[in-house]
Amino acid sequence: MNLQKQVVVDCYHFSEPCVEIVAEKECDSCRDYVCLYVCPAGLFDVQNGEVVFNSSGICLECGACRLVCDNIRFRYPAGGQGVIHRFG
Amino acid sequence: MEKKGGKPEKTKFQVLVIGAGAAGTTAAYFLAKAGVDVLLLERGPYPGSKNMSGGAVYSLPTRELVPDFWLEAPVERVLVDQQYWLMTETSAVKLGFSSVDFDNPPYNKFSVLRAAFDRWYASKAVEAGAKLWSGCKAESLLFDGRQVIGARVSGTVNDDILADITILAEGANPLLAEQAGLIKKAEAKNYSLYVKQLFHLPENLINERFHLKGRQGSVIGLLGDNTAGLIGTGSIYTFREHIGINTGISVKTLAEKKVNLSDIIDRVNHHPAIDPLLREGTLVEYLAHMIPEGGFNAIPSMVFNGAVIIGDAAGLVNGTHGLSLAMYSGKYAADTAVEALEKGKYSRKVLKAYRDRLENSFVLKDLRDNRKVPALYSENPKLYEDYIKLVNQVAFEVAAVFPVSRREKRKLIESRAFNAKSAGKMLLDLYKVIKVIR
Repeated sequence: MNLQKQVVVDCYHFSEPCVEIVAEKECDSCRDYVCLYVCPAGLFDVQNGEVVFNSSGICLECGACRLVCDNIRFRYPAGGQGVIHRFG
Repeated sequence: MEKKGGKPEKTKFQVLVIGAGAAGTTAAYFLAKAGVDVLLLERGPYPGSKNMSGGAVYSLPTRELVPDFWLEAPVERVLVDQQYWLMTETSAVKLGFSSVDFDNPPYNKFSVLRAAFDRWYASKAVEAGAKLWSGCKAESLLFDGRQVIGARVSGTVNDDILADITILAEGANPLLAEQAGLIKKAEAKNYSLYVKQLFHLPENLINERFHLKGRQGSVIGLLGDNTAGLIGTGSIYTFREHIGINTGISVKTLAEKKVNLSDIIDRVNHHPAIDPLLREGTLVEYLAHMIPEGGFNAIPSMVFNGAVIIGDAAGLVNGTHGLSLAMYSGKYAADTAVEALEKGKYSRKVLKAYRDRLENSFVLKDLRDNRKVPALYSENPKLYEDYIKLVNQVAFEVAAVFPVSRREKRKLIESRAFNAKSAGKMLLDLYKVIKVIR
């Protein structure tokens, strides 16, 4: 799967990633990988059979991941941080 | 080094509005105009910096709120041309209506870019007397027993902000209301995920490609192959020097069918009818945003002791009315808050007037009338796709010139159409649609 998406957006640094995996063990037995498909920025990947979240990638802050998996905790970046829409 | 937010000059307001999008800003604007001490919070560095629309603003509903807004708002183009393209992989049946009558006040639709539009709109609220704190995020709601009494904020300001009434306008992900247990967690089936790409092209080239004059603009609704046969929709908007193309698909469908939206949009951009419009354009922005599309049946409770939910956070949005539903919900929340402040009572019972105002307006009337539409699509996922293919096939036969008599050709077309679907099946589908759309 091609996870390198052509993401073009301004982003101010973020001190914490928007996505936190609640219990990493749960991901080890998961074979649905729905997070990979719903993330429009391609920030989830499977490496050696394990789901990993690219915490340095630019999250577009849509929140779709939180709706498809209860093992994902999504929060918006801190005030003033994260993506900045120049056009919107 | 992380910049630490300072202490604000004051921490108590009559009304706290969380989120400076179309809904929250409308609420703050009308509250300020009524002389209410209102604070508008925006987590982004400026209002609009987190927002995304197709996007148009509809003139007739909006001018009721802000008369002659087009004279000062940063509108991009006057939309005078509306098209619908029914697409298969290699063809498109194009339907449309153009009228230069839409190019006269009060106009019909304008294309807008939210980063500029929302920033302007928030400045109107500030001009009217609202306080705006940008770069300031509400982390959690504050309670006194079961009464919402404000929010803990961080960013440019770190403090507990108290308010008689809190208006939650936090957008498509109502995280604060969920965290506080006011509403249940949102469900994937009630949301569509949209990706929007914005391409820069010279103004005159856009005018040539879309057959437009000056600042007139075009919007094209895309149906069919642009969502690879999945339940969804998309559109193309012309802006002054940009073309926006967006595609949206139900989040539940993306998860179930295991497709990534970014792969689908690559395919859309290469469609033979779309590629010539975007050619040589420079991609300047790639954004994603969810839109609540569960309709009336997915609207959560909106009224609580000391708080109301407005805009996308309450599912108050749809394709026909766009931003207007959010804006009007902000207006009704403001009217209700003004009344409550006069009474000095902020209970759920008093704030219920907000819900009543929505019920009596086009906001909930429209959502209620169309409450069966989301189920029609989820129960008949191939409804669109099948007929769009059929229409394209028939159009192909009509357009193609065969060395046969016209009578023979008519028979051929009829047999093609009824081979694809029996007349009975077509009537049944038509009945299903008519039953739902009133």
